[in-house]
Amino acid sequence: MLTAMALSPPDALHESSMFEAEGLEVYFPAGRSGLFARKYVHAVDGVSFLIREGEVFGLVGESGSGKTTIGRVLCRLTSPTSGTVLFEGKDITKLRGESLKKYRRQVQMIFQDPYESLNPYSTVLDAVTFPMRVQGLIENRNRATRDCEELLDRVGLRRHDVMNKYPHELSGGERQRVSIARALAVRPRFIVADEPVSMLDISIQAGILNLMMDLKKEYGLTYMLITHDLRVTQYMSDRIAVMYLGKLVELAPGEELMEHQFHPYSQLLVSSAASFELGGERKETWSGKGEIPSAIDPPSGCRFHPRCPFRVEQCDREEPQLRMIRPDHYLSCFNPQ
Amino acid sequence: METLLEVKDLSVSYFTRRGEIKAVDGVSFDVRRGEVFGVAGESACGKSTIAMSILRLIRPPGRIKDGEIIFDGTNVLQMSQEELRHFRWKKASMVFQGAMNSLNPVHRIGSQITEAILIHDDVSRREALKRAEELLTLVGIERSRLKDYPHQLSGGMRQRAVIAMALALNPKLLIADEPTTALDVVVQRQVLDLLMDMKRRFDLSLIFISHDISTMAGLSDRMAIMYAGRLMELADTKELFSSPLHPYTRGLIKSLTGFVHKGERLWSIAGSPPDLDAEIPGCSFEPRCQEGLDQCPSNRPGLVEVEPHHYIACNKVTC
Repeated sequence: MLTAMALSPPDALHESSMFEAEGLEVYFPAGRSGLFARKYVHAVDGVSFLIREGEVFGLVGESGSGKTTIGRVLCRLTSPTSGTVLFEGKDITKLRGESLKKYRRQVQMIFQDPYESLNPYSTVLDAVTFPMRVQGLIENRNRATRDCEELLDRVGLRRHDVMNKYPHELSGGERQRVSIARALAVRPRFIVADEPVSMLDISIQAGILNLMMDLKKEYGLTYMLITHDLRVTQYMSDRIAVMYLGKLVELAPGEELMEHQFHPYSQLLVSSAASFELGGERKETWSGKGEIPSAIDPPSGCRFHPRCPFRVEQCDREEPQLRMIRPDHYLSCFNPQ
Repeated sequence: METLLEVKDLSVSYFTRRGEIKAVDGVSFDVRRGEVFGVAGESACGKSTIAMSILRLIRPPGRIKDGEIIFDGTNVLQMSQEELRHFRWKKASMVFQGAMNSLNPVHRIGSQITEAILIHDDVSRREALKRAEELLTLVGIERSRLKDYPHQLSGGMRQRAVIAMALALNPKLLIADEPTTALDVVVQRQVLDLLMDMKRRFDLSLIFISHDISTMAGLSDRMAIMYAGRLMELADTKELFSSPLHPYTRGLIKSLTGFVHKGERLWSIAGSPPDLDAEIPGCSFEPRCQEGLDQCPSNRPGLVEVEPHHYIACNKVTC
C-alpha cells in the first residue's frame, strides 16, 4: 500500500489540493475460479494522487488500465472497494443523501460518446436543464429556458437552431457541446472529461479542446482529462499520470513527462505515439513485446515486469512504491531508465 | 516508379430513400508499385467506399456509377465473376475497418486461413495448413494458437490474424482500411510495424486508409486528402505536411495538437461537412473555407498539378 509520506511531501500536500486520493482500490466481481473462491477484476489497485485546484490533471493509459474507473469514483458513480478520496478535506466515499447531492453539484462528468450519453428521447433543452431540476435550481420554466439559452451560447451553439432538437438531429461535435453545456448547468468546479474528443473528427476535436480551455478560464474549473491520446493530453494537461493495469506508474508535469520518462512503460507509450509523427525519428529502444495482461489475475510484483526489458530480480516479487524522484515527479520502478 | 493501380474519375453513390448520396464523386489517383499510398479524410468523406470499389465490393443500395479502376492493365469494373475471384485475395486483398470483428467467431483461426487458401488456390489441405502456420508465425502468433477461436485472442492478435489471412494468397496490393483504429496506442504501433514489415517482405503496394493524418504522416509515401467525396489534395507526404496548398489540408494540419505549443489556441475549422444528398455545384469545402472566392459556390475546381507531383482542387489556382 502506498502511504501519504511516499506520495506527498509535506509542502505539496497542503498546496491548495482539491482532491486527495489515498490507497484507492476498486475491484469488480468476475465469476468464480473454484467452488468458493471469487475472482475479481482489479480495476484500480492501490492508487494515490492529488489534484490541485485549477489544474488539468491528465490520466493516460491503455484500455483496461483503470483510468475511467478512477474518474467514475471521483464523480461517485462507482464506489471504491477501499481507500479514501478527500475533496477539500472531506471523504467523498462516505457521503450519503443530501450531502452527496450537494457534492454532485460541484463535480460533473463528460463522456466519450455524446450519442450514448444523451437521452435520445430528450430535447437539448430537457437534457441541459435536467441536472438543474435534479438539483432544485429551477425557479420557473422561463428562467430555466433562459439559463439553457445562455449555456448553449456559451458552448458555441446557436440556441434557436438546437434547443428543441433531439440528439440524432445533431452532429457529433454539436452533441459533445450539448453534453458540455449539460455538465456546466449546475456550475460545477471540477469536471471529469473521459475521452471527450476521441470519437470526433480532427477538425471538430480542435474546437472542443479550445472550448474546454476557454470554459476553464471563465469558470475557474479544474479538469481531470482521461484519454489514451498522448497528443491531446500533452496539449491540455498541466500534470500527467500514467496508469498501467490498475496502478499509477509515473506522475509528472506534462512537458517533463513527455520529455523524460523514467518508467519503461511510459517510455513505451510515448515512443509508440511519437513515432507516428512526420519524420518522427523513432528512438529504436525497444518495441514492447506482448500486450496488457488480464486484470483478473494481474502479475505479481510490478505489474509491468513480464513485458519489461529492464526488469531486475526483485521486480516479480516486490511491488514498487510510488516515490518522488525529482521535484513533482513521481515514479514506481525498481530500475528506472 | 511503375503504376500498379489507376483509379480514374470514380463516382460511387448510395441510392437511399433520402435520395442519391454521392459518397465518391469523380476521384482519380494512381498507386505505384511498392509504395504506401495514404487516403485520409474525416468520417463520411468516401475513403472506405473507394477501398470497397477497388475490390468491387459495393453492394446495393450502393452502385459504382462511373469511372475506371485499372489494375495491372485490366479494368476491374469489367471483370467477370470468375476473373474477380482470381483478382480478389490473389491480386488485391483487404484488411477491413474493425477487422477484429471480421473473423468468423465459430471457426478456429487456423482453419479460417486454411479455408481461404483452399478456395482460391489449387493446393492440398496439408499444404494449405502448412502455409497458414507459416503465415501466423510470420505475423507473430504462436503455433499453439492455431486452434484458438477468435474470442480467445486479444484485439491486437486478432488484427494480426486478419493480416495473415489477407496475405495468404500472396497479393500485390493490400488495402488497409483503418487497420488500427480500435486499438490502443502501443498495440497500434505493433500492428503498424507489422504491416510495414509485411509490405517489405511481400513487396506489396499498400493503400492505407485512415482518419488519423498524423499517424499517416510517418507511414505513407504519398497522400490523398479527401473531403465530402472529393479529392482535395494529392502530394508526396513530406511535401503535403511541409507545404500544404489546399485550405482544407492547411486547416487539418493546423488543428493537430502536435503542431502547436501548450497554451496556444488550436486552429479549428468552423462548421461541419455538407450533406451528400444535396447537389454541390461548386467546391464542397466552400461553406467552411476562409479563403473562398466569388466563383467557389458555383464553380467546381478540377484537380490540377500545381507543382511537380503535387495536385490540388481549388479555385484559387484555377481561376
